[in-house]
Amino acid sequence: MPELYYTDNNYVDFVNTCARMFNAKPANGCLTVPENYGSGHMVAFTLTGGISVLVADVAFKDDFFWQRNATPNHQFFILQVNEITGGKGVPAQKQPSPDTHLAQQSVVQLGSSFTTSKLLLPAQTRMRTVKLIFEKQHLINLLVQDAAEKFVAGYFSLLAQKNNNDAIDAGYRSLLYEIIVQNSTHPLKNMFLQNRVLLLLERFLLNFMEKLQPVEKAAHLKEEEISRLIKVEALLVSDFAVPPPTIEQLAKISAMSPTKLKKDFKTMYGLPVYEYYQKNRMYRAKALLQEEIYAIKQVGTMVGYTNLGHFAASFKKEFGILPSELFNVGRADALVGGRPPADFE
Amino acid sequence: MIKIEYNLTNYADLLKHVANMLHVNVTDDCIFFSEAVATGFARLLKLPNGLEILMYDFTPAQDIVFHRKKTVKEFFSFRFDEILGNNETAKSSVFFGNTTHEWYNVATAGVHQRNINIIVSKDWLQKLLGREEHGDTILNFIALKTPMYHYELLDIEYRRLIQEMTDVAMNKQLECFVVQNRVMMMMERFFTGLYKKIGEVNLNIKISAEEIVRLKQVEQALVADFSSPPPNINQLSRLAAMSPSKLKELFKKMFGLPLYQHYQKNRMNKAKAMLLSKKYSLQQVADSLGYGSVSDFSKTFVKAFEQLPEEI
Repeated sequence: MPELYYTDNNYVDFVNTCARMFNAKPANGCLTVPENYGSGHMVAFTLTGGISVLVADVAFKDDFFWQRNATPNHQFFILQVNEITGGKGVPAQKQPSPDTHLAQQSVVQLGSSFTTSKLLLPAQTRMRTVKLIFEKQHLINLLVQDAAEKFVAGYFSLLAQKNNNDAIDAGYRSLLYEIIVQNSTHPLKNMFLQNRVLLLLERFLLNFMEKLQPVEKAAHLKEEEISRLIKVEALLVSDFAVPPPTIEQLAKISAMSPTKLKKDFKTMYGLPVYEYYQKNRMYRAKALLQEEIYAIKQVGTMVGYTNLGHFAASFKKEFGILPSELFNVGRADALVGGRPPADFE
Repeated sequence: MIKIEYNLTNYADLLKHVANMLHVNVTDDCIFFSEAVATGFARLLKLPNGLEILMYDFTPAQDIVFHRKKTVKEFFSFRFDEILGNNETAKSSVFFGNTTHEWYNVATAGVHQRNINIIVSKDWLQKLLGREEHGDTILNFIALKTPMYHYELLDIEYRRLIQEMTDVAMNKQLECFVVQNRVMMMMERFFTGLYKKIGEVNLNIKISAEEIVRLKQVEQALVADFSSPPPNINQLSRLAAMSPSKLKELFKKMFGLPLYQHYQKNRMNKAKAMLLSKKYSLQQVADSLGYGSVSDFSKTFVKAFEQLPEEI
């Protein structure tokens, strides 16, 4: 089992550490996983302002173990959005130690340099991830001062309650996919990436600050129930090309009654099960369209529509525009150069 | 009608100026209009990345004309104007222009609107786009189009971003961050659209539909008859109603080869077709394609197809 121990406080160094282990060389900041280890690639970059970012889409032949040793004298936070798919979900070899995070569920996780973190990615499991390293100073620059203070204080209180994770949802997922998939085709690539990464951080901070409010929304859900709901969610949105699982099937998997499942799902994800499914489906369609490699009809098929008209109507219901209108940025009504329209005279 | 003239490029000063003109006070970077002028407010937001934005949310009681006078130093100004409710006279729009030329904006009486104004210095824009592979294309385009005015209708994506900026106003701790992200998304959307448009302009601007029709006529005249010498460039340019140099340039763009190379290629293709039909002798083919001798024809044929006419 490959094991990697590191203390890097930025992802550019981290990718170099990985490259040394793989005996490979990054090209243009992008490291391709060599075939003898697995497949995929990882890219590191730094945002204007100093936040360090890692974007990776990898799967390894064998279980893979990472350990970031604590560096309490250099304080920073790590936010990661991980989408885990495929594989058996269990390590091929021995069970990991209890303090190891076993990557078998998609999760949004906040950690810090104060504690050592251990991650085990089971063999053949695909991990799509965006990770951010940021310091308190970065937050002070982005938020008002006392919000940054509140974040740091809140981090430790939520850590004690084991509540510093966030369930991955439609919003996170569409940002994650946009960051991973589109990172080479956009004409303003840097701006595109920077904006999406900051939107990811924003999404987490909004949820995080809400959790610090005295009334907790999902307070009555037990940790174990939350974990089962996460499983339900992952199954629900795993493949849009085929019809979704029925409530009965989902209830069986989560070992809850259909009524309880429906109620708890709504509490946790804010929408009824199938509305949530539909929203994710449309976000997925939008992300696919934005890759600009598939025809609208193809995308419709990929998200399970046989009738293009139905697809267009559902898309419009979610986004207010037709799929074909997605790229009509400023059309014939646009005026470039010359005199401004009469409105401005 | 109220007229507000200014040439300020600092929004804090501009907000003060507007407040003075309308006899109201600035409190916490915000002004509330007096009833005679409008209902609503204008506020200044200083973003973490150094940008200042001025947001208006108001319904004028009478027409208000904002008149930006030209400045010496060049700044770029974005205006995202969202008209709420149905209105026939005003349109939701995106405006982008530079401040070295004056422009007007009329806020129509009785129309509820939200405006997001962003001003950026030339340096700031250069830094933002300079990081991008295609940034120079956009910067050059903007530099070429001075005075720069770009005007387009506000689409649903922009509206969503404006709405989200408004919604977050309650969350004081995260407001600046959320607004900044939306502002940067708007710029990304704007410049991505502009970039795509530059691509289209470069591809299409030089040949109009009418020119395409005339170029096709030229091409037909050129290859109509090979037995006599082809029309000369002056005759063709008269037929195309364009100058010889323009004709040559556009012809090559449309058909992929210079005029007479295109002629020659077609002439040789015809020769090959005649020979393949086995109906004509070498002499007949040479005659009908305007060659004085079989040997001249043979030489050209070898040059084109790397084989002798006899071998066909």
